[in-house]
Amino acid sequence: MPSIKVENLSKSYGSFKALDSISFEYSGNRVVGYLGPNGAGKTTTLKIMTNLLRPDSGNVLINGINVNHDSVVALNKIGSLVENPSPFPYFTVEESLRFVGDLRKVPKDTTTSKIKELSDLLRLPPLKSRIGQLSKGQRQRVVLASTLISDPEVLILDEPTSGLDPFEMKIIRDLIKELKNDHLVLMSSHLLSEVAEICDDVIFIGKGKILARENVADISGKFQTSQVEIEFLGADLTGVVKSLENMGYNVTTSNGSKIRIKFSGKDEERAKILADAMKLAPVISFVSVGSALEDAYISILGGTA
Amino acid sequence: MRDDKSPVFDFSNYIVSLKYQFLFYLRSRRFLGLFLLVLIVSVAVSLLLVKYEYNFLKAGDSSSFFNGYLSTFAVTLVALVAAFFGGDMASMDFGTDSAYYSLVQPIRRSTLFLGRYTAAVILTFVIILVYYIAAIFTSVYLYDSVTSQVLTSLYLVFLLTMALVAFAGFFSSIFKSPLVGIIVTVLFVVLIIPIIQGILSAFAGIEPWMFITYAGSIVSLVFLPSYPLKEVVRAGRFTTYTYNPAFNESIYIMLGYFVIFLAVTLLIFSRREIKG
Repeated sequence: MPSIKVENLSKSYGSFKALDSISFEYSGNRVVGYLGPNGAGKTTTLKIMTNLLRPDSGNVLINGINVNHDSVVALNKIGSLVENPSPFPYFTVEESLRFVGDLRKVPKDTTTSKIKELSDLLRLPPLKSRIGQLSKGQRQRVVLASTLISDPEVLILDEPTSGLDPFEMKIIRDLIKELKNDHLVLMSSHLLSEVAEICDDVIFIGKGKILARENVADISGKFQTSQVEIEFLGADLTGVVKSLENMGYNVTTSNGSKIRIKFSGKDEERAKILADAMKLAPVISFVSVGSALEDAYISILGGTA
Repeated sequence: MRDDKSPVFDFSNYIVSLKYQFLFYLRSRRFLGLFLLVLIVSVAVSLLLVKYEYNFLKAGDSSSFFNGYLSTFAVTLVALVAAFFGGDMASMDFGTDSAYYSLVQPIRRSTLFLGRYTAAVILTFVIILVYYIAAIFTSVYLYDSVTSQVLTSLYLVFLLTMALVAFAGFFSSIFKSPLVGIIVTVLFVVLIIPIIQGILSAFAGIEPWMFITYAGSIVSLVFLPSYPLKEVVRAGRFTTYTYNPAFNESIYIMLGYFVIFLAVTLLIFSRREIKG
C-alpha cells in the first residue's frame, strides 16, 4: 500500500523559515491536495520529498523509505512533476520517455507499450518531435507521461495544470481522477475548484506550518458559509446596502452595482433575500457564490497570505 | 547526498547516462560542429606545412615533424574541445528546468555525472584523434614512416583530455548558465592561464607546474630525443626563462587536475540543492 510520511520537516533559506516542523501522513490510494498561498512552503515540501532539497531537520518516508537517506530506492517509487520540468530540448518525445524508462529499469518492451498507451491517453505530440519545439502544455504532458512510465505508486504533482489551456487541463484532471484508483497522489494547486473535484483530502499550509488537514467530504459541513451575489440596476447602492443591513442582513461586499450577502444557506432564507432585494431596487441577477473549499481556504489561511 | 545509503555506483545507470549524453552531443550538433572544425583545421595545417615548409620538413624526420605540428596548436585544441563538451555537464541541469526532470530520477547524481563525463572525454578524444590522423597521413607522405612516439603522445593527450574535461566540468558546476560555464572554461584555458603561465615563467623565473597547459606541452615534447627543463636567456638588463615539464612531472600534474577537479565537481554536483 503506498504511503507518504512527513515527520517534523523544517527548512530555512537564510533567516527565512520556509518550513517549520511540518508533519502529515497518508496511505492508500487517494489524492491529497496541498493548499496554501504563494510562499507558504508547498514547493519546498515537494522539493524535499523528491530529494531536490535537503531538510534542515525531519524526514520524508515514501513507502517507509527515507528519501534523503536512500534516495535511489525511494525515488524509484515516486513519479514527480515539480515546478516546470523540461526534458532536454534536443531529445525527442520518445527519447525523453525512454530515458526515464531506462533509468527506472523498465523492460524495453514495457516502455514501448507504455509510451503507446500514454501517448493516446495524454494525447502527446508526435513522438519524433523535439522537446525544444513543444509548447509548455505539450511539455507538461510529456513530463506527466514520463512520471507514469514505471507506474510508481506515489505521485507528487506541483500545480499540474498551471499555465495550461482548458483542453489540456481537462486531460490532466481526468488522468489524475483515474490514477487515484491505484495511486497515492499529493498535488498542490491554487485552483480550488480543481482540488474540490479531484481530491479526497486537503492539507492547508501557511507560513511554513500545517494549519489544518481535512477530508474534502467533511469540509462542507464545517466551513460552508453560503453567500448570494445580487446585481442591481444602477450603480449607487448606498441606500440599498443600508436598507438591507437594517433588515438584519450581513452584507459582506459592495462593488459597483453588485453586493454579496452571507446567510445560513437555507433555501427559505435565500428566497426571502431575493424578495426583500426586489423591493429595494430592480434586480438584474441573483446567484449563489463561493464553495465550501473556498470558505475553508479563506477561514484557515485568510490571515497568512 | 552525503548520508545517502543508496549503492555508490550503479553500472547500468552509468551506461544509461553515458548513452543519453552521447545522444545529447550528437543531437545538439556539437559533436558534428567540432568534428568538422578540427577536420578543416587539421587538413589546412597539414596542407600549408607541406606547401610552404616542404624542404625544411624533408630535411627532418617524423619525430621532428610531429613535435612542430603538435607544439603550435594541440593543447589549445584539446582545451577548446574539452570546454565545449565539459563546460555544461552540470549546468545543463542546474541552470535549466531539466533539473526537475533528470535529478528526480532514481540515479545517484555522481553516477549521472560520471556517465556524462565519460561521454565528454570519449568524444573530445575522438575529435583530437582527427588532428593526429591528419599528422600521421602527412608523416607518411613526407617520410614514408610514422614515429612510434605517436602512441606515447596519444596516451598523454588522453590524460590531458581527462584532466581538461574535469577542469571544464568544475566550471560547469559553479556557474548556473551552461553558456557561461563553456565561455569561462575557454577563457581560462586559452587566455588567462597561458598569460599567467607566460608571465610567471618568462619574467618571474617560477616554474609554472601548477598549470595544466604547462603539463600539456608534453604531448609534443615527447617527440624530442631530449630537451632542456629550464633555459635562461640574458639580454642586457633583461633575463627571461623558459621551462619545460619533465615526462613524469607532466603525468602527475595531469592526474592531479583529473583527480582534484573531478572529485570537487562530483561533490558540488551531488550536494547542490535546486532552490529555483
